[in-house]
Amino acid sequence: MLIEFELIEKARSGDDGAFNLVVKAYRKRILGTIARLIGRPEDVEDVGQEVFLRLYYSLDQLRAAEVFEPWLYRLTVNAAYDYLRRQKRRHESRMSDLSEQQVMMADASAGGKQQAEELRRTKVREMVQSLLGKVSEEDRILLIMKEVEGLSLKELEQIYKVNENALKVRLFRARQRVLKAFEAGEV
Amino acid sequence: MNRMDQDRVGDQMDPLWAEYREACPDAEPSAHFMPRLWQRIETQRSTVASSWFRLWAEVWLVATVTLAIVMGAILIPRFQSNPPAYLASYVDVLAAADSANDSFVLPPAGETQ
Repeated sequence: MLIEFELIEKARSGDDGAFNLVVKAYRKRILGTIARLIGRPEDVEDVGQEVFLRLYYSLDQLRAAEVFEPWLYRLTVNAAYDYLRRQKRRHESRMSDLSEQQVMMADASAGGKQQAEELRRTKVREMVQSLLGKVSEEDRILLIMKEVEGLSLKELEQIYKVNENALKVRLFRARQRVLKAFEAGEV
Repeated sequence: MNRMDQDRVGDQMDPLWAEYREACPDAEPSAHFMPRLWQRIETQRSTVASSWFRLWAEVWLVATVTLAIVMGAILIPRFQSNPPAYLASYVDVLAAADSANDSFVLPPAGETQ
């Protein structure tokens, strides 16, 4: 936990100052998770604000301060999922945007170690985003939460409210689908 | 599910996930993050408050109309079955009383004796 339970209790009872401190403590971590989940840096803050807005209006439903982090992750997962579904409906081509970004970056960079490193990172991001595009939004989020965010099955159980075996099966299938695309070089 | 299959998948993908994690570090939020968040909270709060007010207004309106209909349904038949006790107007009643008291009216002065 990044904060004391007492602070969560205060925020729960309507203390806006306490809520402000809760947001400040968690915003960096949540924005990072959202960035990895949605893969579009320009929309990360917007989705992040949506998460904390939902937190503000649902804090009174929190059973106990101890389950605050799974609760916050659940809100994050839901907001990212809503965002990805909206994006899918808009038929936006994420990959073409990233490629343009990459080309622009490559053009702008006149060489140097830092630029080369940034280009490599961009390529990794593009590759993983492309692989994750082969699975559903639900599986994409589940995979990132497990493999990238490093959440345990126990924590995922609390977030998804499903049993461990169901999660294992779902994760295994999603991993296989991604691996198949990886091996087939569909990226 | 096969344990070996799981390990195989894990072995091949783990380095990629780690690289992705490294390529997407936690970013610092912009200076506008908190002000915009509070702005959204306030906007939502006023929307919720106005929708509550609208709901209450609608509830009261429905209750008033229902009460008016119920009162009409009860009172109108009652008025129709029991005609009012006084059919004559106040002026008619007064005139009738006046004519009944005519014998007690004193004649004009000079006519007496």
